[in-house]
Amino acid sequence: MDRVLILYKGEMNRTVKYGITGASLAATVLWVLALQFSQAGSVTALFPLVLYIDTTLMSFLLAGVTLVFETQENVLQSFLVTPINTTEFLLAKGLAVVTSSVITFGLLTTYGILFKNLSVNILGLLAAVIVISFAFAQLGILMTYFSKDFTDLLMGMFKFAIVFSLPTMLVFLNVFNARWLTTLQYINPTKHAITLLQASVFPVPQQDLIISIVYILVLSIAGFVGAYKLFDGYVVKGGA
Amino acid sequence: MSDAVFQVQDLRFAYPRNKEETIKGISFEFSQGEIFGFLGPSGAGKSTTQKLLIKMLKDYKGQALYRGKDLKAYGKEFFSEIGVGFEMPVHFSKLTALENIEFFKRLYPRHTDVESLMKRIGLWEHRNKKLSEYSKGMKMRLNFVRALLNDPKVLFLDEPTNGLDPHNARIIKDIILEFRAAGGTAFLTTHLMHDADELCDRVAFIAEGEIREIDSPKNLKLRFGQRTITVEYEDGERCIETFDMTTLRKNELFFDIMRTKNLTTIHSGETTLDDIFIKVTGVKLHG
Repeated sequence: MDRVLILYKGEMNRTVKYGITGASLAATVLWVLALQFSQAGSVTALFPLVLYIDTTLMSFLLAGVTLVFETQENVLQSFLVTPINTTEFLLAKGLAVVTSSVITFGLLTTYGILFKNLSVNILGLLAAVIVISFAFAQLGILMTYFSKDFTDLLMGMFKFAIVFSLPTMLVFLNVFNARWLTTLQYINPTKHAITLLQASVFPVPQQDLIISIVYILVLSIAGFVGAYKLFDGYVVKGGA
Repeated sequence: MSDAVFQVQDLRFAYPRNKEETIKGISFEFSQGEIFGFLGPSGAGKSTTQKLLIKMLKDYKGQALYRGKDLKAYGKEFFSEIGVGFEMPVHFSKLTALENIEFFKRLYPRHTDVESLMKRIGLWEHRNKKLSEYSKGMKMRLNFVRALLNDPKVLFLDEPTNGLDPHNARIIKDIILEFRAAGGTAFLTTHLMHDADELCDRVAFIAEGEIREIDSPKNLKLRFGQRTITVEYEDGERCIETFDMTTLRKNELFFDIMRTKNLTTIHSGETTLDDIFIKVTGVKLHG
C-alpha cells in the first residue's frame, strides 16, 4: 500500500506539472459559468448532467492523457523494471483521476450550495462520482492502449462521446425519448453513470438504481482487469 | 555449485504475429563479477535478449536461470536486485532531474548515494533543471544514474555511452569498471566495439537471432588475428616485410632490419573487435 501511495503522490504531482490540473480547473470554471447563467431553480436538476460529463468524459480523458505522456517519454519502461506491480500502478492512476473528479465535485457543490440553492444528497453523489470516475478512467486507459498518440486518443474520445454520451444526454434532457432508445440505453455505460448521479438528486426507480450500481461496479472491475492484462504488452511495444 | 548469475539454455522467442523467431535457440551464461558484452548489428536480437533477461518479455521457450532458479519463478523482488539502463531517455520531461530520481528512488527498498553519483557524472549542479532543458548526453547520464539508483547487483546497460562526449564516456566506463571490482555483474549491449574491448571480460556476437561467437576479447583477437609482425622501414625507398611471429626469434632478416634500418612502423597481426564483428556478423559497422 505504501508504494500505491508513492505512485499516487507522483501521479498528483505530475498532473500539476503537466498542466492537467490547470486544464481540469478551467473546465470546472466553465461548469460554474454554466450553472451561473442557468435559472436558479434548474441548477439542482442540471447538476447530475454537469457531474456526468466531468466524471465520465473528463475521467476518461485524464487517465488517457497521463498514459500517453508516459508512453511518449518512455517512462513506462522504467516503471516495468521496478518492484512495483501493475495493480499498484493502475490503482494509483485510477485514484489520481478519482481525486480530480472529487475536487471538481467539491468545488461545484460548494458553489451550488452557496450561490444557487443546490439541494442534493452530497454523500450519495460523492460515492457515485468516485465509482463512475474510477470506471471511466479504466475505459480511458483501455482506449489509450489502442491509440497511436494524443490526437488519436482525442478522436477516440469524441467517437465514444457521440456513440455513448450524446444519446444519454438527449434522453436526460427529454429531447429524444423513443422507447427503443431508452431500452437500448441499458447497454450504455454512460446511462448507468447518469442514473447513479440522478439518484442523489431526485428519485429514480429502485430497480434501475440497482442495475446501474451493479453495471458500474462490474465495469470498474472488468475495465481494471482488462487494463491489467494488456498493460505489459502495451509498454513493451512502446505504444499502440 | 556454479557461480553463474544468469544461465541461458536454448532460448527462443518470437514476437506475437511474427512467424519467424527473433531469438533462435541461444545459450550462454555469465558469472558474478563479470562484464558480459552482447554485440551485434541492429535487429540482431540484442535488445530482445535483454528484455527477456529483465522479464519485460515473458513468453519464451528454453530456459533462463537467475542464480540457479527459473527466471519465471521470480516475482517483483527480482527488480530490487537489477538495474536497467535503457538506450532511450526514460524520464518525465516536465520534472527536474532530482524530482525524477527521487520519485523512482522511493520505489526501491535499497538506494545508492544519489548525490555523490550525480556529482561524479556532472549532473548535480543541473539537478533542479527540468529534463526538457537537458541535452541528449545529460539525459543519457541521468539514465545511468537511474540504472544504479537501487544499488543493484546486476546491471543491464544498453548503449551506455551513446551520445556522450569522450570525457563523460570515460567517467561512465570507470564507474562500470568500479562496479565490477566491487563484485557487481553487468550485461552490456553495445555496437561500440572499443567500449566492449575495454570493458568486457567476455563478449557474445549475435546475428540474426543466433550467437555466432562467445569468448574474451583477447582470445577472439588471437583466434581471428594473424600471428605476424609487419615492419615498415626506409631503405632508399619505403619497404614492408611481414614475419611469422612463431619463428621470429630465429629470423635473421628481422633482426638485421631492426639493427640497420630506419623503422617507420611495427604492427602485430592482431585484429580488432571491429574486424571480428564484420567477419562474424557479416555486417559493416556504421558511425
